Amino acid sequence: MDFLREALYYVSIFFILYLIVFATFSFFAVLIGAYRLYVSNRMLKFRNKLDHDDLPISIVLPAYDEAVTIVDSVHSLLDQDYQLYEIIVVDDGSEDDTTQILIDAFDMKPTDRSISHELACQPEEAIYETIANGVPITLIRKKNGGKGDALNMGINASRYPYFVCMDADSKLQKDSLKEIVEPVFEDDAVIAVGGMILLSQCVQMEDGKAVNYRLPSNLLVSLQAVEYNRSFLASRMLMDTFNGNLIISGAFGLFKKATVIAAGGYSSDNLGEDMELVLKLHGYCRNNDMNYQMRYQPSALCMTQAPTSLRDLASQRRRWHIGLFQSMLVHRRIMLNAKFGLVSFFSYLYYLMYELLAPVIELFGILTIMLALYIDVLNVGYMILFLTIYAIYGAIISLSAFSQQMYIQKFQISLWDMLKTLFLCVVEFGLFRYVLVIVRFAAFLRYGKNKTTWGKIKRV
Amino acid sequence: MISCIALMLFNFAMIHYSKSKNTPSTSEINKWKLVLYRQVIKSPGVQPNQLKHAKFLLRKLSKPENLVAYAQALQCLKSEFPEAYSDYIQKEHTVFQRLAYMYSKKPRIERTCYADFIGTFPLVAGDTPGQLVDTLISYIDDSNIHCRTKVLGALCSIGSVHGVANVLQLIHDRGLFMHHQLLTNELSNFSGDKEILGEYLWRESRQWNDNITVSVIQFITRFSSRYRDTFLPVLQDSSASPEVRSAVIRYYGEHMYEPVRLILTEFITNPTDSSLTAAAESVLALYPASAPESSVIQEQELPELNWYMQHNTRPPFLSWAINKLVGNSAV
Repeated sequence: MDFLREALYYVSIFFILYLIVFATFSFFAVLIGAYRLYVSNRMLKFRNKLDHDDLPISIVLPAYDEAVTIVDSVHSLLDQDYQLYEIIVVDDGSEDDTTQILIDAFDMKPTDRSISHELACQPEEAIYETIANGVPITLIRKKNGGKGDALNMGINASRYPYFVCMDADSKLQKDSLKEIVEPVFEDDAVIAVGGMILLSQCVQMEDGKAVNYRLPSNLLVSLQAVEYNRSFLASRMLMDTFNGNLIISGAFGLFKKATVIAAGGYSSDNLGEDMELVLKLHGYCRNNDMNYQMRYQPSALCMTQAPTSLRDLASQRRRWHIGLFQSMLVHRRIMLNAKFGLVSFFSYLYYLMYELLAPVIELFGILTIMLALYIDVLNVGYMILFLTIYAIYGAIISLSAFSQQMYIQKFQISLWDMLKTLFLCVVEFGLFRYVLVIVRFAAFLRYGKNKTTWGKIKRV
Repeated sequence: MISCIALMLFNFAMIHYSKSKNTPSTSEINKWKLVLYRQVIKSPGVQPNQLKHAKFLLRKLSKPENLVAYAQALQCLKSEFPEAYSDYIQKEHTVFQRLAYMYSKKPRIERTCYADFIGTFPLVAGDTPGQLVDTLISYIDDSNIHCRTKVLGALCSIGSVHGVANVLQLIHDRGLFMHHQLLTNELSNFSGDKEILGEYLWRESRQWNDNITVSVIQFITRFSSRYRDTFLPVLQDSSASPEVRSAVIRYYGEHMYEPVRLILTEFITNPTDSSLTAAAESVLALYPASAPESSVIQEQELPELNWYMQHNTRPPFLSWAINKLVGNSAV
């Protein structure tokens, strides 16, 4: 019994340290975020005069069974307030009518244009072209090979030096391309830029511009909205300060084509192809002693549909977690490698401890509490006080991140929304994250099942 | 926890503050308008003090936020009193020169802002002081794409052939990234004699990289039909890069030249590079039908030809339009 008590003592020390590091990270994330927003706001009045829309961009839109959304998605891209871009839709062997629906909607014509396969991918079966709204659209129907494979095909077919990768169900704000290309204009070393992902259920669009942000009545979607702000905005802005981001979301990211091709492109056997590419680019650039930057641009907005049912959410998070595991495993040489600097000693370790292993550690924590309760070594009053303070602290951090999001987009927030957000922050921090812990833990247990398939959620 | 609450309050305060501060306020612009109008509109008995105004400008405009408000006031003057504006700009050109030097010591974004200012309010061509041009060129040191674009734009607005050529030379020498489309767009706004610039740049472009050469050809394509003979050897030169040759092919799409028809046909019948073939197809489609060549193409088995060449009798407008819109990516 003494051994058990001693073991529990060390476990409690570990968890206190674990939580302190996380709380400190969260605090610095919102602190740095606020500072960066202040600086970027100072620069805004000059930037408005320096807008550019003439760096040519190829938008690559991989699609699999997207018959319901694909036409709307392409239409939303045609309304971009940008001078020079092309759209490349890659149908990755859909079993529905994705290709035919696009052909009919845009009166596309077949062509036998040749595509050089600089990046390995499954062969094309047919290529169609058209011009709509002055924007060239290319549709490539290819043999099924997964999302990464489809993206590689899109890169091969693109004619411009920079490409934007997107999800087929994502929608952009009218100025999103202009915003995401901005870091490239600011710094020659920029090879990749990540955009800000918002949930489309929360955003009210008018004339291609997000005009309002409301938390929807669906509790699951609202909780995800709060979580997106806390985990994505704050942490990515912090890691951005030392070029340490390990993820550029596949829903909206811009890349320098030549560097991506040189690094080997997307992996076709990885569920987290977006993260894997970023890790690959870090590796390629560091190994070649290149001066490079991967930036996060929170003003470049992309709206994506959140899962509305727990089943879809679980499926999505399972894929994300397996993708995270695969990517970190493939690029494990980054860990504790001096060549990678803070990318190794901060970002990689953070993702390892607070993302990849978090479900295991947190479940272990819950089991430890139960064991401590069972052998009567737990100070219940102290524990409740500690967890309450921690939950309130987390809620305030989430609320800070939320307020930053509102600040970036200049959204109005009503008092009711504020109160609702506060409530959701508490629920998200105190309850929702534990649901996700279980989902992600299950992902570990079920690793191996459909690990390279396209993820699907019910479209609304 | 208190720090977090403070941060949150800071964010909300910033939301409120930034609403009014992202653009110069009307009162700031009006103040500048008053200063400008007092300086340029002659009132009886009141003599504007040139020296005092110059000192005032040097002091105030060294801050970019003031420069933005001043630019808006200057724009009002330009549209309301164009002659007074021209006189004013000429009188103050030494101030702009000194400001250009002051801004050369500032961070990139502020340099870029000043180059943008000069591009918007260029000195009259012919009165261009070399010193200003040289200072603007020096902005290219430690520059980003924004800065290079605005510097090139300013030099094009001024109409300085020497300045534009020097910037392109620096971009080449230092291997700086500037997509040819960006270069072409800025060159197209050249306010001086485009023929002289085109001739000079084409002469110099032999030593520059393909990306810059393509932009020079695209620039020439937009205004001059005098290069039909000049470009012919490049089209025939198999050692020239496909990007450069494709740009030349597109030149012949804008400025038709019967002698190239056979060469273009050759690109289709004996394809060596897919970009050349595609460009040749799209350009040839614009040429009036010529019975012998058309029948030659149709009689041959041409597996590489696009669907419309094989099956359609109408011009391949789609391919032409896509090629024209998309151009080629030299990077």
